[in-house]
Amino acid sequence: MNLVPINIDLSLNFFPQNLWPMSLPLVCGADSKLVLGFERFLGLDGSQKQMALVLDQKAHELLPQLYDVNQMSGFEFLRFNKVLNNESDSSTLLAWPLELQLYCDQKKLGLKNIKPLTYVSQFMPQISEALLSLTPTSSQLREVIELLCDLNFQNKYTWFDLKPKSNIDEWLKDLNQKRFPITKNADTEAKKELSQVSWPKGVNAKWENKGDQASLIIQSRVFSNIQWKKLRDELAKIDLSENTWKI
Amino acid sequence: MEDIKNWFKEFYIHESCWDLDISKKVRSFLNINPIKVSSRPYSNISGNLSGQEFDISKQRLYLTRHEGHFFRKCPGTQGAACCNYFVLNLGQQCNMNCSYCYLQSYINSPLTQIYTNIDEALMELEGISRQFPDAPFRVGTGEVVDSLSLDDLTQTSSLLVNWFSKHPKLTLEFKTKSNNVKNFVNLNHAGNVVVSFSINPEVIVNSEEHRTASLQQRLVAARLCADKGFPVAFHIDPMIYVPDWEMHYTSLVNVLTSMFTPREVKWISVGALRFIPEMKNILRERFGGKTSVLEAELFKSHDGKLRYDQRLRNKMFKHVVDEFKKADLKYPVFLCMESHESWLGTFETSPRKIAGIESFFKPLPTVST
Ligand code: SF4
Repeated sequence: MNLVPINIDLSLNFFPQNLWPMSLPLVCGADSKLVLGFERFLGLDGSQKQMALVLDQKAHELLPQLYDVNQMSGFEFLRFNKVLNNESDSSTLLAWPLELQLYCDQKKLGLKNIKPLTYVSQFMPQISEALLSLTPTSSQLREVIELLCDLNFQNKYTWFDLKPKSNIDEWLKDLNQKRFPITKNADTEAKKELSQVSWPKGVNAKWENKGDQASLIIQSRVFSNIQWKKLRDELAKIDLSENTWKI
Repeated sequence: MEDIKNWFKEFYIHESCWDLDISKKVRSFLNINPIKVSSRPYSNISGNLSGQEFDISKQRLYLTRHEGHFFRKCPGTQGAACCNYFVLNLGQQCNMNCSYCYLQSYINSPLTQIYTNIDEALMELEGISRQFPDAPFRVGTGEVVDSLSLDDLTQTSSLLVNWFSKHPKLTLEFKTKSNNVKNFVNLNHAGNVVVSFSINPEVIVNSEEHRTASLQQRLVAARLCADKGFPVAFHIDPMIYVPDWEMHYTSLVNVLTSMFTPREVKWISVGALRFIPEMKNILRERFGGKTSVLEAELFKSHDGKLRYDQRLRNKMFKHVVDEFKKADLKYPVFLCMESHESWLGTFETSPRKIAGIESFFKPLPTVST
């Protein structure tokens, strides 16, 4: 194990998420292949000599000891396996632009979250561009990927139908409407129905969907018995149609 | 149903089971030479099988002993009304291929297993029946393997029918999507073996229930069982929302009620499509673009499974229940793996208050498993 100036081989760069502290030297295997400190070569090819700690084992043997696959995000895991030549059918997913892969890694998307991208690769440039420009949160990103995959399997949408019209929230709303038309239309009807009701003053009534349950939530603050009786009588006059809860 | 003789591509028998009667039967039945092994030929996968591994596991047979208890209480589902069901596992994996099959997210074994020590399963049952002589346990063999689709290989059905004829307090349920009743239907029995058929409209059988018997074949087999005095039951499960679903399910109920009187039917359970979210990726891999299951409007439910919106479920259940009521109020219909909201939405009451099925939901003694 020596700290020596060498030409560094960057062929094992799998763009790991965890950065190697700047205060520590670059680390290579006995075959000059870098194993720690890849991020310091962003845009460089490693052709210039660098000081690095050269370990006795080969880089391929070192990588699995240095990185914990259980902590890796989905794309990171696939890239890691690829540089190690481990058998896995990752070619379709690793064809996605590196920039998008790194964005998904940064948002901690696991393998099962990115798998649906396998089935929307015909829209790869468009989806990548949309996601990178709209910068969704982690949960938004998962949801968009799921929705696009499900909708694409329906074989009735072009990218023109699916593409975002404005921001991420609007995009999700649009995709959800397309993916769940029966349920969303029933919700719209229920909300319309409820908006026509004149609720007693101070009563907040809203339609809420939680998973597979949709319900009407009625809230009010009551400070006295008189107020309670008044509210009770006013609520008793409200007649909601059966249709509110129908689909 | 395709020919099971030529279905398996690999066939292994554990050396300890090689000379057992059941192994001899299977060996002589299949058109493939078995390989004798001293240990399990493939180990379990950590995590889920890929779609490809799952497909291969369906055609790779392994005869082996089952270690541990055979008999366990049906896990049911969190928050659902429980119908006191016990499961007797006689193997694992299925030779049929339904798109929505929950085994896709459950099995991590790359093999179809058939357990050879069924005598021990029966001894276990014997012990339980002696411990609780008056408890009317219901036992089913169709949880992780179809009760009858592989019966030509093992002929387990005849063994079980004979055993249950000596234990009339217990009820056995064969649950199947096959029409394979020939190995037991002519046997003497005590009227406590219910032959239940999972059914769906033909359009769904064709698009989602691959390699199964057609609806017509299942109903004819059910009719034969009923004619021989076996109580029959039906599981209209999973109901799947497809275009014109009302019409399809109406004709399903019509054909069923035209072939069976309420007295001949022990129960009719109704359930809707459900599966855990983790199953979606394997479903996409195996059936993407060819199944309406992936188009279904499903949302995360109280127990983490994906289900149709409660309102849609209520509508679907109510439709089926009303169609049965139109034919005859006495058909014993109940909801399977469903929330109390669904019971209320469909029957306007809870399961323990419905005549004809209330006994399924009465608590029974606890069996340690
Ligand atoms: S018959 Fe049952 S166990 Fe077999 S594939 Fe279909 S759902 Fe699965």
